[in-house]
Amino acid sequence: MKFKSTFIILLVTAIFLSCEEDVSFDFEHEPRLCLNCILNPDSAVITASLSLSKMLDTINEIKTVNDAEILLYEEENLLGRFSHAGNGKFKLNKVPVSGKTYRITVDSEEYGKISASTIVPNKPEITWSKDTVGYDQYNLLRYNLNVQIHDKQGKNNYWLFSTAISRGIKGGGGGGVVLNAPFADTFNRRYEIEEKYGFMHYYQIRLSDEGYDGQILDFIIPDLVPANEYRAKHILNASEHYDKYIKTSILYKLNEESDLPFNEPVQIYSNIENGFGIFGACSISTIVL
Amino acid sequence: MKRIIIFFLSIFPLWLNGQSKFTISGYITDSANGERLAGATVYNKSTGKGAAANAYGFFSLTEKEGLCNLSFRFVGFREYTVNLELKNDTFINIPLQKGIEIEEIEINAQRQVRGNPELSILNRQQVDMQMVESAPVILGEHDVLKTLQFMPGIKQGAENTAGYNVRGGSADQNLILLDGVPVYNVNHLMGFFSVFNTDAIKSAELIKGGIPARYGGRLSSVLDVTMKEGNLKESRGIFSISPVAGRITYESPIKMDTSAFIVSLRRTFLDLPMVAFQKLNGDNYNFDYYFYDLNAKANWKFNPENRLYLSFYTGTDKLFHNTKESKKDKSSYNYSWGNFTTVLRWNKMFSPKLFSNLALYYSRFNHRQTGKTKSDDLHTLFKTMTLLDDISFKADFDYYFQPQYTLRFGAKASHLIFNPNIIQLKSKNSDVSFNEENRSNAKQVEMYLENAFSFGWLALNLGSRVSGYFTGEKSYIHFQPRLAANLYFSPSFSASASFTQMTQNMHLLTNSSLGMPTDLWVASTDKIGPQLSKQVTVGLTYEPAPNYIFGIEGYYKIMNHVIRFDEGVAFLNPKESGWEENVLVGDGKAFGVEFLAEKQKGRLTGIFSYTLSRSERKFNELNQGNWFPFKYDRLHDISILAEYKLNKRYNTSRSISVGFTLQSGNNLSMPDTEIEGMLLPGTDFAEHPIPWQKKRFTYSNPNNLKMPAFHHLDIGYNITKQKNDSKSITWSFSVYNVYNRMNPWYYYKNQSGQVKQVSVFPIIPSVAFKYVF
Repeated sequence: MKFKSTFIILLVTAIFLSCEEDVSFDFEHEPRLCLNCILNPDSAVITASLSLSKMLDTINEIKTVNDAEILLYEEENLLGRFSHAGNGKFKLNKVPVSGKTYRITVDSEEYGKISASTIVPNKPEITWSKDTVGYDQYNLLRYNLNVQIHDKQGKNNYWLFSTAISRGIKGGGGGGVVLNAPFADTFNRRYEIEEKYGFMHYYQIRLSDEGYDGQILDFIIPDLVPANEYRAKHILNASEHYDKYIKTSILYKLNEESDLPFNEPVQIYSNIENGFGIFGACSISTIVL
Repeated sequence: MKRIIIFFLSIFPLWLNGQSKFTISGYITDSANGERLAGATVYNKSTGKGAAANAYGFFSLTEKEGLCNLSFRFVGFREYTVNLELKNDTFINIPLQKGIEIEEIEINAQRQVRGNPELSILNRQQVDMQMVESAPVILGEHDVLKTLQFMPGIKQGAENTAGYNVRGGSADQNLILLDGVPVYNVNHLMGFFSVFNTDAIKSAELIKGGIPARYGGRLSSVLDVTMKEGNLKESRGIFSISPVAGRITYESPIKMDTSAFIVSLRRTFLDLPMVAFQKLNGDNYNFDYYFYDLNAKANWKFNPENRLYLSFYTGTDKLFHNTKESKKDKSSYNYSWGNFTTVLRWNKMFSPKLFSNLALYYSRFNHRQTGKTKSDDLHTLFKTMTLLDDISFKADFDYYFQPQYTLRFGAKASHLIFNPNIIQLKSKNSDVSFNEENRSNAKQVEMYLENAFSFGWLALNLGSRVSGYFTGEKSYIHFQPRLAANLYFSPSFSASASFTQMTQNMHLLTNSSLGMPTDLWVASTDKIGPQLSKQVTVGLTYEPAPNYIFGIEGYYKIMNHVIRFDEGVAFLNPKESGWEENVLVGDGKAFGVEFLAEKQKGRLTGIFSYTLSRSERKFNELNQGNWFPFKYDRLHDISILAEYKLNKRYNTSRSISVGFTLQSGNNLSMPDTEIEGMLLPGTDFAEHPIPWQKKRFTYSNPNNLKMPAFHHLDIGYNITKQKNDSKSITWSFSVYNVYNRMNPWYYYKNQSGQVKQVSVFPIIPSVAFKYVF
């Protein structure tokens, strides 16, 4: 009888046992080269960062790689050899040209060879104007910024982001943005019932010319207030690979911030053969407000 | 041109109609209740020819004039013999009585006389409803879909969910029919229970290879579930109860031997004590969840040539949560989803050789979510709605030219209406709707032709299906040839081969395997085309004795235009963008070998199955366009389901049942690599760059992590006391996961980055009760 009672208690307890436990995985990880390099025709120096991938959840910092040969080819002709600038950084004093194809190769005795290619996109051709729309609840003047991107034929991937100086502090890149345009990618758009259009883009806005190829992408950035120090809006035209890298990076972050279960996880995009990282290109047009 | 030639080749037997003979036709039924017995056989011992009854119990056998010694059989029923002098076309109804008898020699001779003899035992698997009833289950809820998962090549998604994956396909690639009507969401309570109430089900059959041309619309399999028809002889009922739900089923003749009906209701009652507690406690909130299923069916026999069926099913899950702080300050949240299906079928026998089934059906899946908040200065409404309506008319014909040759042909026309994820947001200042542009209609027309040959040593089914799908500005026309052959080296040993080409015009958007109500069925569009597959199988079947079957089969399947959610998409994201922007289109391949050993009769019955398989996917946008393992790619899968009947004493029968599953774990993507990151554009301008941008967490390929092996042992004990001919009581005791294996259900990372494993099903004992009257 006593056994029966004990058995029943054990059974009932088992049912209501917490079924959550900490786990760790023994991933097999072989370090691979990670190259980050973005070409920009507005910059006279090309910078490449070289490091090693490492297994997640280890306490060591990412290790930089300094003993590698990095070569850049323009239309398959050697453009130059990067010089080592310390701490995994390599530099090359060359100016990439829009429309040309570049290939980068990295040769490390210890970690092998990696390579990647990219095409430098055209600089976005933009026009813009301001419309005063009134005053807000704090009696501050507000205006809309009307922007037109004169898209060129072919696939272009635009990103809209801001930089500003406020009270002497520089800021830029992230934050939420409100914009309602049919060509604005919705991958990072979420409901925000209190926002002007009922939604907001997180971090940056991607503008796709799919369906608008060669046309004018006309949109309004609403409800801006005059800047005291410095504020700028930038339209970046990203190469195919860089575009995917930015997108997956933002998706990954949004995923991490989400407390929802069963998210589809995100693999950070890479075009580096046999390695990680990104070799891309961009051209930027800026509106200083 | 090649397709046209194949099409004409496939219909050449139309011209084979030979010399005049007489036809014996009729229906084979269960003498106890008048239910028609699909798959029952008739065998002429005089000539060695035979035929199998179709899905409506109809048979047709053409013989030369003279004496016929006919034997009618069905598993679990006594043989019925008829001797007749065949002088003209003859119509007979055959009532079979339940019982056990079978002589091995005769069975061997008749083995090839069965429904779809061209399909191997592994391509066509009949679910034994008695096995479903006796299998050990979780919380006493017997489930056809869970019993099915013991079969080779059929793997469950997450533990204890009704959703299943067949031969490396995804869950949406399974066509699930209830009385011939597609059921779009077969899950209750996150998929823990299926919508099929076993008390109302007569039979279930799954075809996963060599799929005959009469079926179409999904890539991987067809599960054909048939409801009981209603007792034509006497009123009967079933009351059953488990820790989760109660069920009541009642069937009765409306007019003896002419018309009958059946009604079956299942409802969960777990919510009742919870609601009572909340009321007694005087809480200012209430929370409730329940689900129910209601099946109803009626049939009328107007005369031997005409019979009408009307079936109806509805099932709903409902969850709500209300809070009331004061009269002016309250909020509510309602969440409901469910199916509604109805079908009107007319069985018409045009002649002893031509049988038809005409059906008009309607199937709806709906999912609604409403959140309201009301206070002094705030009124908000959040509403989402998904609706899928399928209105179809179909006509199927069986023409029995010769005992060796049956022609099946038919057509179907459907009108589909999709309203996926229509969202409304309303507040004092705004009232906006999203995804209105996702509303779409589609029209689908399908035709098929099947030539079924049975020459004794060779059974062959050569057919084709043509589907036309018209949506938006685009039309998709697909020709789908089908071939299945079974070569009998001897009555007990056969080799089979098949080729199946399938098209799927609808897609299920899901990023969990849990059968979530938020899963969206969407149409193929101008941008996203239909999914396509080709499958080849080869196999061997050996039946050394009537009770034993051994089968081995290999398959190779390629899938094109399969879709999946893009990375980073979550099924609960409050995201309002069109679904087409959130999916990736790619390819899949699956291959494997399945082994089955089955003992069908005797004190010990059961199956042993083993599958060795691979399934992979490829999307241009992922993994640099390289192949990677499918989420449910499980290399090994061993399943055992067995029942041992103990000695019967004093009208009491008892049995012990055992279920065991051992599978390789599922795959999942989990970042395992840390790399240096590039700052996002503009961030490098900032004085304080955001730390997370300096590094990225990623993985070398999707589904890089193999979860631990999944296994559990379940034991059941059933006692049935037969009170009299019509009344019995059954107690079913089950222990799920006897040795308390903590199988991972899912993983997540907490705020500190620690990975947590969540297991949902520890050892769970249960008891269920069933009263048949």
